[in-house]
Amino acid sequence: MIELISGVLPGENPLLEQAFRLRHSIFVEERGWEVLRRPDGREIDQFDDEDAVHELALHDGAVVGYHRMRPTTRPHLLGDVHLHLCEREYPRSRLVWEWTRYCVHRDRRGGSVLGGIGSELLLAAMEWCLERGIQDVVLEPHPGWIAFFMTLGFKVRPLGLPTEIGGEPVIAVQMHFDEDVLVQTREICSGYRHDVMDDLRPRSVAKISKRKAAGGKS
Amino acid sequence: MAVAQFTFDRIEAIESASTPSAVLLEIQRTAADFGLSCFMTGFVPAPHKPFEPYILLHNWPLAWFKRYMDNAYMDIDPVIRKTRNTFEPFAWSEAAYDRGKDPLAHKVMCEATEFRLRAGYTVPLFTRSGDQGGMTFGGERFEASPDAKKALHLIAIYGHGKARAIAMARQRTVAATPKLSAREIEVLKWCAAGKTNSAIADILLVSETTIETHIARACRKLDCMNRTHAVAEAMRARLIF
Repeated sequence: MIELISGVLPGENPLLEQAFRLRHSIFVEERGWEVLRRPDGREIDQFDDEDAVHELALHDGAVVGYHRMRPTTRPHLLGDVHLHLCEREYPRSRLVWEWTRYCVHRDRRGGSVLGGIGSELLLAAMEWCLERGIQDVVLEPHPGWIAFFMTLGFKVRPLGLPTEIGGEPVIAVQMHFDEDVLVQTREICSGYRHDVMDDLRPRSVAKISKRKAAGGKS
Repeated sequence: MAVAQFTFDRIEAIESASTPSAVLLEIQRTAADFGLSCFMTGFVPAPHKPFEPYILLHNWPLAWFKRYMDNAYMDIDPVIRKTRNTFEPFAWSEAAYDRGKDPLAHKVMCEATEFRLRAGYTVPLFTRSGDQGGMTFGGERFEASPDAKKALHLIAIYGHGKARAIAMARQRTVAATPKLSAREIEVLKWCAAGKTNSAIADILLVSETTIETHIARACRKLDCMNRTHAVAEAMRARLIF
């Protein structure tokens, strides 16, 4: 189930607090983004204000996935902090939104969950945008995501060259999509076995091959 | 800045290419700008599976390509091994192996130099289905400047994406093409040659009604209005030439 929270500040919504803790566990503890570490275990930055649209994936009342959306006409991560990732004209508009902090709880990635939390979050974000006439988003993913989004039908335009932030490869991109892409994504993701995020994590390779090896013996 | 613009322009050229050979030329052109003479892109099969059906596009030296495939070198190639195990692009020199313990890996790398492939850059790629793919660039020398790496990384993503999209579109066309009988194809070929039904009947030594039946059936299969429409459609689907 997807829950959208917007127009609130940190501390005002208990579910959102859970989401901040999920973000901390993934971005700081798992991926090692030490700059974001906070003693209270909540990962919160200057962009978690009233302009942010928080998208939460819930399972049995717990937040198991998260994604944040912000308009590019307001301060946001790529356009204001990481603008150096961009080497062509930056698309600041009411109809271009930024997607950041996409994450899925470690135990809920990939595997047997039909559809997958990751797909659910992606589809919900696409639906939310299209309902508002938004067909363009900017984000700074691992470059490996470009191929992934292109196979879903997104038109992915690089805004810069691949580079690194804190040792992790990233690239600034603008992605265009419409109803057809949504339909196709839904079709593809409903039968989706690998979680989107898992596809890019080296440790999942080890996991998959171990699983395969185990399967071979049985 | 200059490298970024240059790369964006090349990507746009790749995106607007409509045939595999046009995509190949664009990738080749960019590789050459970084001193690399050839490239190969496709998917990496599971170990000990045939490699060739997984290749989407390449301009590898043909003799080397053949020797590589005939001897299943993909199973011992350290570059392929590393492609399976990493998500980040790497220079071939980073695909380390122990010469003493792994003489086969050394053999592949040495034989490649006979074809002037001494250095290269490989970009592993992943798609939604979890398929492992990639693009590898090779040449006599590779000066692995940060600019070259970034540009080749993006070219690999877009080049592979485009090659894959074209291959998938072709597959769909083939799957969607209706099956005509040999006789229906023969009749449509004579139609395309400008023959009337009675002329075709004389050539094939059957009645004119039989010819009409063949054409009607071909029209139904191809979802066409009349014989002219069926001829055009059959040509488009490459059922007749």
